[in-house]
Amino acid sequence: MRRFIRTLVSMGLVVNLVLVLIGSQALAEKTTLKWLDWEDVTQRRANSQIIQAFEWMHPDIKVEFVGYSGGLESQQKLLAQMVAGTAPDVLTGWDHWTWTWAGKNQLLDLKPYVKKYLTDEQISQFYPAIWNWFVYEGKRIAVPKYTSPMVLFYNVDAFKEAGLGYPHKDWTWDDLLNVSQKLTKKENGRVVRFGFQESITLYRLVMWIWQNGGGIHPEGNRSICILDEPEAIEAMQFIRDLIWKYNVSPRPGQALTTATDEAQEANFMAGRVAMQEQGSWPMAYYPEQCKFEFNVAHLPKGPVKRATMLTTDCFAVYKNTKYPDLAAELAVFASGPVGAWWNQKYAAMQSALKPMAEQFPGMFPEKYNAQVFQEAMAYGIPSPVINKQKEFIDMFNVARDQALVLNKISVEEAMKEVVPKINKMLQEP
Amino acid sequence: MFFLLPFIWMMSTSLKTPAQVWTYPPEWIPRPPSLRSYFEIWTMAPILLFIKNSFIVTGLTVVGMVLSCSMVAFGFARLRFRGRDILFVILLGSMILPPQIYMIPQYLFFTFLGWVDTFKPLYVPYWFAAYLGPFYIFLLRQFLLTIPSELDDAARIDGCSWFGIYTRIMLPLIKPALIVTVIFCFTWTWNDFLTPLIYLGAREKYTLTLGLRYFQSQYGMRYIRELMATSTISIVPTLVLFFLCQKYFVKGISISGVKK
Amino acid sequence: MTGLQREEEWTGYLFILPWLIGFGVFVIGPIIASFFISLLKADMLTPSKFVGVSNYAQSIHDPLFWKSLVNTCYYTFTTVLLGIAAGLGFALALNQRIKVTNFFRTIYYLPSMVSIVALSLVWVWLLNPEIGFVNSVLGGLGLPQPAWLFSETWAMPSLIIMSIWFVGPNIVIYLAALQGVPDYLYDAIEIEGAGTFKKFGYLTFPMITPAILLTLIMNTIWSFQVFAQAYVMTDGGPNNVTLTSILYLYRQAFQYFHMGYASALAWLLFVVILAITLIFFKSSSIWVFYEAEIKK
Repeated sequence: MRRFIRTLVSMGLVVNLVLVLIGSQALAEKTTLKWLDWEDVTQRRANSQIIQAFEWMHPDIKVEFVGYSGGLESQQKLLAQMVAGTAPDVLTGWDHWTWTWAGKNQLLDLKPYVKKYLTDEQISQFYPAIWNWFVYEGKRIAVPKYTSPMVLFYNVDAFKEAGLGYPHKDWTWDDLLNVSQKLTKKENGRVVRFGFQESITLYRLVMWIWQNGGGIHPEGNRSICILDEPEAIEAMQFIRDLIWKYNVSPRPGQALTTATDEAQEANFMAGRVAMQEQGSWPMAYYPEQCKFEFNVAHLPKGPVKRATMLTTDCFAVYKNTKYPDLAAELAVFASGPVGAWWNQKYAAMQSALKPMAEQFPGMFPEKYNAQVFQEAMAYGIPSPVINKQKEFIDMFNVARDQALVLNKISVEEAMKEVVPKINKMLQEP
Repeated sequence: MFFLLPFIWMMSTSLKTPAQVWTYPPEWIPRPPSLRSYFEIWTMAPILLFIKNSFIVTGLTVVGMVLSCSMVAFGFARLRFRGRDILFVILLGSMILPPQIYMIPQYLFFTFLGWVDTFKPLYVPYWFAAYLGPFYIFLLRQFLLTIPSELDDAARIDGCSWFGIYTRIMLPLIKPALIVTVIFCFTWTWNDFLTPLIYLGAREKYTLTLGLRYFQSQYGMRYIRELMATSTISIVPTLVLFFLCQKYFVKGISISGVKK
Repeated sequence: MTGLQREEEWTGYLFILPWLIGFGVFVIGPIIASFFISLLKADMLTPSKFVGVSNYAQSIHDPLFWKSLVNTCYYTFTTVLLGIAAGLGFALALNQRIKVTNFFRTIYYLPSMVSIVALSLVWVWLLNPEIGFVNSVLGGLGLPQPAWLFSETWAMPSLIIMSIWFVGPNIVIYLAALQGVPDYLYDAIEIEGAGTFKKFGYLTFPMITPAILLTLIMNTIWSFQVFAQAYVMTDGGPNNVTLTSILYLYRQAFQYFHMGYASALAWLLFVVILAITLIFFKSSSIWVFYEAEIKK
């Protein structure tokens, strides 16, 4: 009996030893995947949940989160890493950087991996417009992270105070202007509250241009700019009139007015502006940071058609990754239901998966008309892909400054001046 | 007062509650002030770890920088050797080319050395007076040149070595300038964002300036209070150092008191 | 050459050895590389093409290059003058033998410790045309109230005035330099009955000229490289009036991916700044007073 026990114990020891050896071996060879995403607390929270789930599925893999923050510095670093061939394996893309990377041939074609990891049925759950948006010159360059239409946020208290009916689905540009005029409040000759503010970056102005039947490039030809056509000029003129003719939108200096979205957000939260356009993400923090009741509604419908922009981020895989298979799997996983769930929960980024997005409005108290995020998907258009986007936008901004910020020349004059220059730039090799 | 404004604004934002942050016009004094963000940040991000890393990097940099730069400055200011003036012009010139433009070759070089994701690119170059070194060398040189040359001639006749002149005569005489170098070097390294950003990857190695990114959101200014609270904490070490050091380069009342 | 001179020579090299190594290892390689890149049409990611000096030739016909250079010169000359004058003024005031509390001795350095983003946000508020502090003061005095950051005329001056916040380092340098002025010289000049201005002109100023040369050159170099303020507060606008050279270079390099062209711009800028620096440096033999003669 004692011998038996001794044998058992020693066998146990041996087995243990072997296990430890194998274990340490596995530990030593643990593959590390690097995943670049925005660095803030919210995104970290969401991503650590996604990473946990992925590591649970692959015990031999460690996923390391690599932080990115706005500004040129991070872009500089990423470029240096790409030159050195050491960029992170999975890249989260936003602000059209994906297109730049793809243009510089830095992204892996995900087509074979998508086929491997997703069934046709799973693919069909994505909103087609967003799913198809990430195809560039026949290659699948990324898979979507989230999608949100831009909608109208409004200050409920301001509407009550002015005794006005809330914005509704059939609002037109005229309604927006009329109500904005009534919401604009003056005290001692100074405007203390503006009716509406539009962020005047091209990526926001384009919604009004679409609503008026125009665009940035003509369909299927990105080497021409059509911002000098009447549809575009009229739309920008409408925004300009809100600022300079009716002054229901703040002029430079009448509120925090820089072209950035942050200033516009700050104006809304301070009660300085009663209506603004926004995506779904402020739903995560406006309830805490606004001192007043707010709600969401559809953007007004334009003279030609109803349109809004679908904002989206995405996951791409770096071309020179050592583990294309795993990196692609992580990208697809983060894009799938698990990833979408956590991003929706923590960051209020509406999922790009239809069944998941349908649950999004239900996450908020009933007083919010969050259903509009769902309804607006029906007429939303993915963010425009602009050729040589940063050069394009820098040139456009100079013209925009003269017309919308400085009120020096008309929109028409500004566009007639800059569009030929832009076209020349676009046609350069 | 003008100089205090940014600081007051940071403090006041950090002492607000979420609902107090956005007002128009802005409130300079929150009513009532709330320490909430100061309690919250520690659980939202490993701030203590970041502070520790910042101290390691800054300490290593300051020590190496002051040692090497004072030596080099002494060489340029007090000794005669062929090519000295042209070398000094090269030294000045090396500060002129915008650093952004050679950043990529530099990154390739540190990748080649295997130093990326370590603290080494952050402090080793400073032990050899590279990058910002020339500025401190120039600074110390200017101060060394205000010391009469009879002093080292006399010391030489007494049989003192050049190294002895450097450590025993010159360094004590330019103490205010050395203190200034320490302050500048500390402030600069402590606040540097770009170098740590480029060369550090893992969170465990983050310096405090990198850690601030926990509170910089992709969409909007959701964490502005936390950002300002952490920023306020981050200036404390520099402030303390400056406060302790300023008596070394301001004559002030104590001296005149003795004099009268 | 005597033995002593030879000893001095190799000791000299020994003393500057740390920098020689640092320069040789960490600095010269990347600098040379950037020069070669300036001869290429390169984005660093896709294959590049040798184009000789055509990047340099292109810059001559680039209106934005010239515009940004003019903007930067405007910024540099005013900030450098302002920085030195304000720095000297504050330093002299703080160095008086009057009771100044430690509090005042510390606050001028505060802005140099605060992040540029926080500084910019405060500045945007202060300069707000309607409710900003600056305009309410001007309005109170019956002076015109410009639109500051939103005006083509006043956007650059806004950045220039903001630069006074960064005067702290200059003050520190001048204070340290004033330490070096021996008290007995003040006593001597006081006995001769010199007034405040005479004391400054004949004694204080000459004694701190080495420090002034230092700040003159360094402020010039750094002002030419101004970037963060322009990027954060105006992003070059409105209508490119705050487009600085480095902001433009940054756009070319990291946003348009014209790395070769950006490198060429950097080298052109280098030549301009180097020329100015050398002029200051050569002229220093006329106006800068060193106790130690610089041995030839």
